[in-house]
Amino acid sequence: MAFWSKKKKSTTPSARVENGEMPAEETLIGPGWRLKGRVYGKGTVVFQQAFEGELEIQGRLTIDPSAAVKGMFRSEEIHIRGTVEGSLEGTRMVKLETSARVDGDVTTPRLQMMAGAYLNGNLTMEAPQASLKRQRT
Amino acid sequence: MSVTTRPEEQSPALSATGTNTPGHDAPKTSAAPFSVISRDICIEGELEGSENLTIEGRVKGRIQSQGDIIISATGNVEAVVMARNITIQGRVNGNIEAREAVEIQQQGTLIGDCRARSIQIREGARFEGRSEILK
Repeated sequence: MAFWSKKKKSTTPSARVENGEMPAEETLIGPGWRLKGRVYGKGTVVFQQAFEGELEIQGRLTIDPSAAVKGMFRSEEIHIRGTVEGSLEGTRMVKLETSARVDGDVTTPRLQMMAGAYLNGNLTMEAPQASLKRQRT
Repeated sequence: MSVTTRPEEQSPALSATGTNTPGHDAPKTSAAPFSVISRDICIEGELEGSENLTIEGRVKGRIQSQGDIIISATGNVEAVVMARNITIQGRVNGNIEAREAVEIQQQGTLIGDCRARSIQIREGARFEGRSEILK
């Protein structure tokens, strides 16, 4: 519609969220929260405390240094700064930062591991297409 | 990327849902930081915490908080909810209990029993269930 096409576009993310042009897509489970169960959907998910269960999202998962999580995690991008017990599958990439401690298996086409990061488990490097195909099924 | 807990004034529940417009009262909440469940995320299970929480997505199960909970206009909760203050702008199906206040805002829906020290139901809100005032 012409009316909408004339609307001035906002530039800052917060203004775009306010105008409904961009969804507020970050889920933040802050340091005061414990979550047990299943998380799914799309967007960015950040854990700053405790989680136990299964997570499958289209988007990015970040485990902050204060967080200790347990379970199965599947996402396009996974950034680990905290403690993980369980399996990680990043269909695009997995990044283990200096403070990361992972006890479990990692499957991804691309792994970035910073000096000081700890990984105890199997690492499977998978072609990007195979990962994406598995994510669609 | 450095992520910090969002302060209340930046909560997308107030900005993204358009409930902060004139004619709507801001929810009664403390100034503590908010955790957020965004609109495209579903959670099934138990959430337990001491902080405030804004729900823009879906939650099924049980939520227990020492802080305040806002179910924003896009939020859909099928759960037992216990918190200090509960503000409903979206939809809740389940029993809720607030140590202080429950507010069902315009367009908000609560299907379930409600227990609180004060209960406020705005014009246009929907409430089906029993209510009990705690002393």
